[in-house]
Formats: sequence, structure tokens, C-alpha cells
Amino acid sequence: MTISKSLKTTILIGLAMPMSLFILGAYNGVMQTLYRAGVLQRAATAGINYYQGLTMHGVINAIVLTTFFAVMFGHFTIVHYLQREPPRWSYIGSLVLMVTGATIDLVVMVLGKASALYTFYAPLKASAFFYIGTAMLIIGSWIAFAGWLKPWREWKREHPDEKMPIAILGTFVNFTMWFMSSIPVIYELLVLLTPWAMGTTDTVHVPLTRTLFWMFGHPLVYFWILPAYVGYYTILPKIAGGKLYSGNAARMAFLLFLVLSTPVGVHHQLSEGAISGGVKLWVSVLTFAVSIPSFMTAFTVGASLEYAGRRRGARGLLQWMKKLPWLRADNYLFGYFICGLILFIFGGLSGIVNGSYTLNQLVHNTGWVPGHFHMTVAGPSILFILGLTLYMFHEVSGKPLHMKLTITIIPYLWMIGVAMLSHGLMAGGLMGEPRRTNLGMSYTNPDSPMFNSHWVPSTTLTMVGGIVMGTAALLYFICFFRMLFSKPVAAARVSLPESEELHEEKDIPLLLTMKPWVVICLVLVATTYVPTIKNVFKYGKPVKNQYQMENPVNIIQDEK
Amino acid sequence: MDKYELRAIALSGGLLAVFFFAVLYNSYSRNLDMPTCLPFEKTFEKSEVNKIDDNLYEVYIVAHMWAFDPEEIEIPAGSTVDFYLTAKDVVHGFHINEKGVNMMAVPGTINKITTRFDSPGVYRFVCNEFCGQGHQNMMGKIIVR
Amino acid sequence: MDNKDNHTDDNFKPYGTIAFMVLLLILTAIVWFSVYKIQIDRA
Repeated sequence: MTISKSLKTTILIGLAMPMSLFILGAYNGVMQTLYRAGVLQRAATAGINYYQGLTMHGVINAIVLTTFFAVMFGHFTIVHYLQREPPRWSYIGSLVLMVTGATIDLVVMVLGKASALYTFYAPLKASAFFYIGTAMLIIGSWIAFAGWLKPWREWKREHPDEKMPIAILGTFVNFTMWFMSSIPVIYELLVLLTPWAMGTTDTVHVPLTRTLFWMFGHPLVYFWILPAYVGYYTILPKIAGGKLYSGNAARMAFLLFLVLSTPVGVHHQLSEGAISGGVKLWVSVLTFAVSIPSFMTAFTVGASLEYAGRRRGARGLLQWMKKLPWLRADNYLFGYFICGLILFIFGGLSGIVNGSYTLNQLVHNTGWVPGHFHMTVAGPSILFILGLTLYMFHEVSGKPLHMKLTITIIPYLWMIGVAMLSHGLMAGGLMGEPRRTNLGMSYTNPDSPMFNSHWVPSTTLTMVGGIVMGTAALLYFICFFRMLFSKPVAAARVSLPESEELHEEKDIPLLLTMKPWVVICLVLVATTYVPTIKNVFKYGKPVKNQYQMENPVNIIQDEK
Repeated sequence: MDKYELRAIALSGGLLAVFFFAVLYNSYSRNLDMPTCLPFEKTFEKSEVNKIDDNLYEVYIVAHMWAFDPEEIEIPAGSTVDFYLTAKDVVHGFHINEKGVNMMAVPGTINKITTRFDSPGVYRFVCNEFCGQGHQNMMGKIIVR
Repeated sequence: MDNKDNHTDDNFKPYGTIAFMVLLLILTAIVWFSVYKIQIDRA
């Protein structure tokens, strides 16, 4: 389908802006591995402080890039499957808010006024502009979602007997989950933190702000992966030469994510004081439960790929894995999918460890945690983002995609880099190596009395992995920007490969409506968060604290 | 739903149930537990090491930018220690890696865990939550004789 | 071509995927219990 000029411009800006910022995000990631390995033994390099760089890395890569992509891929999916555009006010309004919010955040981070990391835990202070900018980015994405409801209703009226396409279900589940769970963080940002940062209030209830953040923070990670899952179910089987093994399973997995990803934020707070053991145990049960739709995805996608392999003549139990379109320049997207899946095996397993109640104490805030999430968000999520950004930009701009061989190799190189990076981080983490720490200034500096020699091999392996990842990123930027700066050779269009379903399955009515699932979701959220909020007020109290990261003196002076 | 899909779900669910019971077993039989809640009181903001008897100690740790108070704790081997933890300014972490003790020090809350130090040695603990410019310098030692 | 597809479709049983899932679950158990053992050793 061809698209209007304003939607075309929106999508191109919405893809190019975060990809440009990603240069800064990736640079800061590689730099951190140098600091942590003790190659850099100082607080700052080239005007960027370690913790400032860490903030930029997290905010750009994990909030800006991922949110913009989810919205742009959402627009693309809506237009392809529903053959109509969202209303102009929604996609332009959303873009304006998101670009403004992200720009404010960028400026404030570069100026060093928001070095509180992407979790911005109080009482460490970031500029009020940072809180406002982040809120604008999130609210902008809500507006995009609101705009998609109109084309959906129109399509439904024209196709009353057809099921909601799986890609649309995945997109709507993702954004419903996102909308519901970003309400607590918008409250935290605008009602609690902004007045506190501006000096209008002088107390902050720290465990409350943390609880609100993580109420958002866990569904956030599903917001990152669900677009990739939409791709795994609806694009991958087609480009691998197979069919989707079960449409019902795909639908069930998405709906299970809606109800099980929203209540489990407390599993990021297992080692905090103000929440009772009972809630923590219940949330661990729900966390085990939310791994089930991922195991389902492994099975369904695996079976779809096995079908593809057998169609190409594979025999025996595992030969189908070999008979897939690996490293084919005419099918570059396949690599972005499959390398993400391989990494996700280890990312998912390490995630189960994190959520296992008492086992969490072995890994909390150690290198194990970034080891885990670089195999999830920096695995399947980012690879899907990178691959589809190339694809969507190429289609919508009509500009040619050159260097196909390089583009094909990038995900494999990236995968090798992440494997090394994460292995070093996880091994180091089990040896007690802390995350979010400028190790080169102390723990990995042989001249420091705090030197810990055990952490040298792990941080060194991580650094090598980081450099490999950085190389893959550099190659990607060359390919992407070469396309961006060339002249269009084709008309703009929007189209996606669509997987066929393997079997004619019986409809399961429960899987064809979102309403009961939203109700179950709210009930489950209440079972974890009503007791948690009660605990937080019973066991914690507000404090009159506010600190800049450079200064151990309280900004709020007590009048006593 | 496809029967092979259901089997895959059942197998995964079964393994997760095994994990769950393994964790519960640890909590009940091996006394391996989560950090506990206590209601906040200002008295916890004063650091102390109390010897209750020959083998039982209470240590009240206060985390602040950028050191722990107390920074060095000496106890005899075989002691059981109750750690009470809070923070004076921002959020900090407290991680004794060799004992698997890992707690957040959150201002306005108290966190508690109990652990036993059987073997003599020096047990380092580090701050593992970003707390500002001096975060990488924040560590302490428990010397067990 | 369609007939051949239908024949393959109907007869397709995901034995290879089941094998993969079993291996995946074994790997999950190995990783999980390794960390579990470390915790017991340290406590």
C-alpha cells in the first residue's frame, strides 16, 4: 500500500532520530566496558563522566530507541494489515511529543544534569526537565496507540467475520500493557519527582517511588520484546520458508503476557526492606508463570522453523536447524531474527534465576543482571529493531539498501559480541562484581587498595565483547546512514511478509477477545500491588533528602 | 490447542514447579531467607555492633555517601549475625558476596537479614547500587577470626 | 504444489522441536541448579 506524505515523514523521522541517538548510546556502552576492565582508570573521558555515560546509554538505548521503534513498527503494522492510516492528529501529535521529550532528555543528560541512571532512583536528583521530558516521550506513545483504534474499528466493520490479525493482537496487547503500566511512572515523574526536584515539596517517599517505577519497569521489558515476538510469529516463518505452526498458540502467548507481565514488577525489589516476604513469594510464583508464554514461543517458533527446514529436505531430529536460510544476502532479515532467538535462550534462563525468590540474592545488582539483559533487550529486541529499521526505512523512503552482505553479517557479529560481553558479566556477577560501578577507579585498578584480581578476567572478556558489539554497530551505522543520505529510487510503500498458518485450527473464543484478559490483568495487579503499597506505607517513611550525584551534602537543609 | 504445544507447556510448567519447591525447601529447611521488613525508626540510623553473647551479634549498619558505618567488623568464627541496614542519604546496596547476603539500603526503611560466619577469613562487602560519584569506593570488611 | 503442501502440512509432527525443548529445559535446569548450589555452599 502507498502512504501519505505526512505519515511517510513521521515514520522516517521516527526511525532516523533514535538511530542517530543510538550512535551516542552505543558509544557510551563500549566506553563502559573499557572503564570496568580498568583500561580507563578515571572518572571521565572526553567530557563524559562514567555515570553520565551510563545514564545516556540506558535512557537512549532502552527508553528512547525502544519506544520510538515500537510506535513506528506499530504504525507500519497497522497500515499493512488494516490497509488504512491512523488519523493525522494522532501520529503527528505523538511524534511531536516524543521528539520534544527525547530532545529535552538528551540535552539535560549531555549537560550532566541528569546523571541518575535510567531508573532515576530518588533521592538522587535529576533535573526536573528530565522527568518532564521522559513523561512527554511516554505520553506521546499513548497518543499513537489512541490513533490506531480508529482504523481498527473501521476494519472490523468491513470484515465482521474475520479474526483480528495476530500482528494486530500482538501490537494492541503490547500497547495496552504499556499504557496501563506507564500510568504509575507518569504519576511518579510528574506528581512526585518533578515538584520535589523543583523545590515545591521537600519530602520524598523513596520506597513508594521505587515501587511505582518498577510497576512500570517490568512491563517495560515486555514492551521491548513483544514487537520482536510479533515478528517471530508473523514474519519469521514466512522468510524462513515455513508456516506458523499454531495461530492459537501465538494468540494465547500474547494474551498471557498481558495478564502476567503487569503484576510482577516487585521482583525487581526482592532485596528491599519495605515489602513483606509474602508478597515477594507470590510475585516469584507469577514470575515463573510469565516465563511460560516465552517457553510457548520457543516451541511454536521452533516448530515453524522445523517445518521450514523439513520442507527444504531436512531429515532426522535436528538437521532442520541447519537447513534454514543462514547468511543469505537476499534474506538479510533472517539473521536478525535467528541470532536474537539464540541469545534469548540464555537471556530467558538467566531471567528465571533472577526472579527465583531467595536465589535473587546471589545475583541482585551484580554483573549477572546486565549479563542477563544484554541477552534480551540487547539480543532479540535490538536485533529486531536494527533489522526492521533497515527494512521499514528502505520501504518508506524508497531509498536503496546497499552493502547487503555487510547487513547480513552484522547480526552474527553482534551475537558473538553479546555472548562474550554477557558471559563475562555473569561470571563476574557470581564473583560479586557490582553493576553500575566505575570499577577501573578502584576494584580493577591494581594500584588501588580495593583491587580485586578476580574481576579482571571477567571484565576483560566483557570488554572484548563490547568492542565486537561496537564494531557491529559501526558497520550498521555505515549501512543505515548510507541509505539515509542516498536518493530515492522507488515510490514509498508499506508491506510486510505475512506468515501463513500451518493448520486450519478451531477458533477458541477466549483467545479472540481482549476484554476478559484485561479484567484478569487488573485483578492480578491488585493481588500484588494492594499489599505492596500497604507494606510500603507501613514499613517505610518519607525523607527530606535530595542529593546531586557529585555532592554528599543534602540539598534540602533542615531548619532544626 | 495443539497437543504437542500443550505438552511443551506442561513440561515447562513442571520444571518451574520443581524450581519453586526447591526454593521453598531452602527457605524452610535451610533457613535461607529473604531480607525482612521492620518499621522504620530513627534509632536504626545510629551504627552499632552489639555482642549479645559469645556467638550472637547484632550489627546496625548505616550506609551513606560514600562509606559504610561501621566499615570494619570483627567477630569470632561460628557467630550468627543479625544485620540491620538503613541509609542516611540515597539508596545504597550491601553485598557480602561470599555469604550471599545482598540487601538494599533505602532511606526511610530498615532491612534485616541473619547469617552465620563459620569459616575464618576476610569477607568483603561492597555497595552495589549507584549512589553518586564515590560509589566505586564504597566497601567494607568483616574479619572473622 | 498445493497437494504436496497439504500432504506435508497434515503429516508434520514437530519431533525435532520437542527434542529442542527437552534440551532447552535440561539447560535451564543445569543453569538454575548451578546457581542454587552456589547459594547453598555460601550460606
